[in-house]
Amino acid sequence: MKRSPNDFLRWYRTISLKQRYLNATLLFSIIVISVAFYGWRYVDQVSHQQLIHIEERTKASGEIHDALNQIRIIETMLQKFINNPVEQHEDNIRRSLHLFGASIENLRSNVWIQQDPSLTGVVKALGNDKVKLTNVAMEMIAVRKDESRWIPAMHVLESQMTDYNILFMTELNLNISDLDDELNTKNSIKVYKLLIELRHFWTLMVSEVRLTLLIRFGGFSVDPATGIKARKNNIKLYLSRIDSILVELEMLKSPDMVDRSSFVEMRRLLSIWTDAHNKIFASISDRDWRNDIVVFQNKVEPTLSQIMQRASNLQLELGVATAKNIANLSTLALGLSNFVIILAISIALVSLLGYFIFQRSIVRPIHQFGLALQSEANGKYRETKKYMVSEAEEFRNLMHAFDDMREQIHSRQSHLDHMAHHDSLTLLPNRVLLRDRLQLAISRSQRNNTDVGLMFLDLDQFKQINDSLGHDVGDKLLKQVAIRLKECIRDTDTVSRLGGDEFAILIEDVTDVDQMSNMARKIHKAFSVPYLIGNHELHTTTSIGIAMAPSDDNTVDALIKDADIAMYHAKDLGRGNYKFYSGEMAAYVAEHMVLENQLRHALEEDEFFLVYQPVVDLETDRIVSTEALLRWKHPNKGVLAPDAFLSIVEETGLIRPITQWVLNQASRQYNEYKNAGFADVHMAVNLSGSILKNYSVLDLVINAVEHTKIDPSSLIIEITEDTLLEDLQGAEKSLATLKEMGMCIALDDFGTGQSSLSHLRLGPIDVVKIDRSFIRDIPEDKNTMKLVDAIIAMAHKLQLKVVAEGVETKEQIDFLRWHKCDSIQGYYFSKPVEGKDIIKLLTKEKMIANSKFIKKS
Amino acid sequence: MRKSIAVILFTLLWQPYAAVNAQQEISAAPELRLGVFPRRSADVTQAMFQPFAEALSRALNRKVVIETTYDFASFWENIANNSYDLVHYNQYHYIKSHRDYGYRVIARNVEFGHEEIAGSILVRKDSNIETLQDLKGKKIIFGGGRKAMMAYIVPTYLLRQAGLNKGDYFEQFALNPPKAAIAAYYRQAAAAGSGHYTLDLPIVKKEIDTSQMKYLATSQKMAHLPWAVNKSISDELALKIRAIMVGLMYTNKGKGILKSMRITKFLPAVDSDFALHRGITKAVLGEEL
Repeated sequence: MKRSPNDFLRWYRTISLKQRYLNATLLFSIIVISVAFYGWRYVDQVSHQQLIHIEERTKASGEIHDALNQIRIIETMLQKFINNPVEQHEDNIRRSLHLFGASIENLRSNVWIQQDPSLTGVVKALGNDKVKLTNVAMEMIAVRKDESRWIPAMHVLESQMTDYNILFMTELNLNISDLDDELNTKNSIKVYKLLIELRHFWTLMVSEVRLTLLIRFGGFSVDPATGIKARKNNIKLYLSRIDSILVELEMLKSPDMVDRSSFVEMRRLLSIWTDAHNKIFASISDRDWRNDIVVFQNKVEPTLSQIMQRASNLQLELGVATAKNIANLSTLALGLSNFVIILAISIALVSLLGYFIFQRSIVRPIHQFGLALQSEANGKYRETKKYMVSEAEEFRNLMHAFDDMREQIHSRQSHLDHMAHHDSLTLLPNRVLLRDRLQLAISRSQRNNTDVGLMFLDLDQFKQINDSLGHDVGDKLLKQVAIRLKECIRDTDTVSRLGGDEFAILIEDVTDVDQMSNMARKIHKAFSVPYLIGNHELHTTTSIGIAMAPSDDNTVDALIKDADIAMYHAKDLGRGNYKFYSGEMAAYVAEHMVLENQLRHALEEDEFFLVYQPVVDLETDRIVSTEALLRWKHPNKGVLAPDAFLSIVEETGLIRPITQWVLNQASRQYNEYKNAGFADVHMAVNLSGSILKNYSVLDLVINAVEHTKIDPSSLIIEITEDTLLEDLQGAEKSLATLKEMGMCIALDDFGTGQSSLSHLRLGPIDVVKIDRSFIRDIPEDKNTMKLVDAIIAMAHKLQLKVVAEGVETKEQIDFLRWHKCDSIQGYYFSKPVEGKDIIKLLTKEKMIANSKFIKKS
Repeated sequence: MRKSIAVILFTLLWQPYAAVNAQQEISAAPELRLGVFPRRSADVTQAMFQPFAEALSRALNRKVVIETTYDFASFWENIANNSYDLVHYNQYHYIKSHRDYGYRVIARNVEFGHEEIAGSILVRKDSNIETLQDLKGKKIIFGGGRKAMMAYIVPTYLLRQAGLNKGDYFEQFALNPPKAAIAAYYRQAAAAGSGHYTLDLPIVKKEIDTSQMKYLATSQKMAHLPWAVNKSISDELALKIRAIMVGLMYTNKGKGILKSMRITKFLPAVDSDFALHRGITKAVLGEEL
């Protein structure tokens, strides 16, 4: 199966970056290592080769130098031998010839020589030259040593001339001596004179011959050829004279003592001598008069020149080879430089290519990925895909992961959007979505000139249901409420759950307020049907506040606030009511806010104070306790009772510091009682239900105990029945702990709430305080009186003390005393007074008691 | 015209070609001694000329022996001793052997496509030497020795013509003309005396970058290396040998033989072809040849 280049590129784009990097790194490494190895090997081989060449040439150069040295020695020694043929020179010549031969042999084995056939030929020729030189040198030595071969003239001189000279002179001298005693005749005297003359010329002639030889040998500075020629002329003259004398002697009548044949003999000897003389002259006049020099010049010197020429050739070749080596090394160095430059350029190009690939395969996809993320972040989902272009495995994985993540994000975002805009329990739009829709509805209403109605619903007594039956029941109730509400509205309207038991209904295109009233009534009607949740049949109503846009307000927040205010006013009307928002409601709220602000400063400005109302024992008519009552000295409104600000205090959380202040202050007052000698008078403090519910009442009490060092058993904690209803379990636990600390628990305002007997039976209650509303009707209302009697009896049955509140008349006291009520509290005895007044009362009471005691005694 | 001559020559020489290619018994006639001057090493010379000797042997029906020497002295000694029947040497050798020993030229080489050859002086292009006068006081390497016609005698003639006499420059000798050119390239001397196409020779091109060299001066072209026969060789045999040689170029086998000798072809030659050589030799060496 054939793959096209495009297939390969397509395949390559899909492989992982890691694989690409690995491939590229491997390829690059292999290339670099191969190139480096090749370069190293090439340089190593070339340099090694060059080094071998240089080494071999150095050897060859040494050998040539040695050979030339030996040649010069041979030349010098041969010249010396010519001058002085001693054995020492001959030995030197032989030794040098041997060394020269050794050098030639070494050259022959030289690698550099062997590599070049032409040089091999030269060395081979040098070998032949050496043989030839040996031969001619030996020949010259032999010639020089052999005098007959050395100078042929000398041989002639010695072998012929000398002997004949002696013979001639002997003959001549004999003749002269023979005549010495016979010089008595004229003829004899003439002969004698001729003989003497002959001897003279002969001697001169021989001397000329000797002089000639001396000239030949360089005995005079005169040019040998000129000298020899001059001498030859002289000898010629002498010979002519000698010959003429001898002819004359032969012609003369010789004395008897002289034999004529002697003259004939002398002429014969002269003739022989003359021949020899001619030979000598011919010899010494010739260029080759001396054979050793002839051999040297004709044979040795050409051979030496030939050797020198060949050595010169070799030296030239050495120079060329050295230059070639240098050129090669220079070329190598240049090649290396080029190689380094090419390598550097290659690396730079590869780096650029790497950068390009990096840019293309990593940076660009990352950049595009960033753009994709940016598009995603900007919500341009359609553009996101177009940036996903890289096909590398890692990026494909990343893009898949990104796609998955994007889808998940979108899904979650949708879910979150839904969650952000809907209530998870009822699936109704939540406050956020309601606000959006309300905003849109207000905008539309402004454009269409219509009204928008907003209902704010709060379920009545939902808290009690939730607390008593549990959250599950409460949640199910809320779900069913949501369904009923949706059934009450049009599709275009919006039902929203705002939180807890609060709902809102947005109604658009409201034509008149009756439409809203009808809707409210429709809702109340829907709520009139009991809710069946599990085994429970629940009855609940809802309070509805209604606000209209634009008549009430035309902003979202204001409209919701308006409806909320209206709802509270509806709630104030009692369960199952609805109320339209009005401006007065806003004023009320504004006043409420001012009061809240003032309350925040009241504690700091020390505007609170306590008053104390005594509780009197009906049996002893003595004060057994006092109830601390909070008062606020309002800067403008005068002294305010807690009813005027308690709800605000509870809403704002100021209840805690105020309660702590009350506990501390009451405890200090008790300490004053104690210091005044009334330690048995207890101090009662009211605790709000919200304190018991939301805060650790124990911490507050313990703080007060620690700060004031009050005996906890001196404190009475008063709670209302509602407290037990709201959080019976929690309240019971806290109250039990307080009781363990020695405090008494009093149930205040008994009879106004559910008046559950279970609260009395199960709760940690010590004292029951009958609400003033029961006492107020005594003695007019017989039923109330029966009820009070029953309460007292029941409490006593439960071992509880009973305190009647709001006692203001003598009849009331009598009734209560008759029915065994334990204590009373009310204006009949004392209105709430300051602490110092309580002490005065106690002191007065003590004095009265003392006087009674004295009277009795 | 040239074509007609070639056809006639081809017809005339057909018989000898056939003889070259024919396989026949070698007769008992005296051997023909072929001398080749030591332009190259003896072994190389032997190898190069052996095919020619064999072809000649077959054509002449007599044994042909190649006589090689290691140096020119030995070679010349053989010339003087009439040791060669057929001899290949340089132009100086020929005119001297012709005068002294009666050798007669029969053919001449055509080498590397050149029918004639000139002597020249080579220098490096970067040597700053522009004229022959610039060589005064410099060293010049000549290929071969003082008897080398194209590598010494003719280049020296060029120098003389330029006014440079002996002593105006240093002389050195390389083993052969290519080596002289190589030595000059490697700056062993300022110039080299050599043939006019030395730089085109493969052996030179292989060794040096010939583009760095230039011919400073080149002589008139003259007849290339000659082949001569001994005076003892008859005219008939001499003509026969020449026919064989000239005819080699017409057969593939003959071309192979020529290639082996690194010769393009042979041309017939006569003594007058070397008149110019004689004049130059006289001018340079003073020899009346």
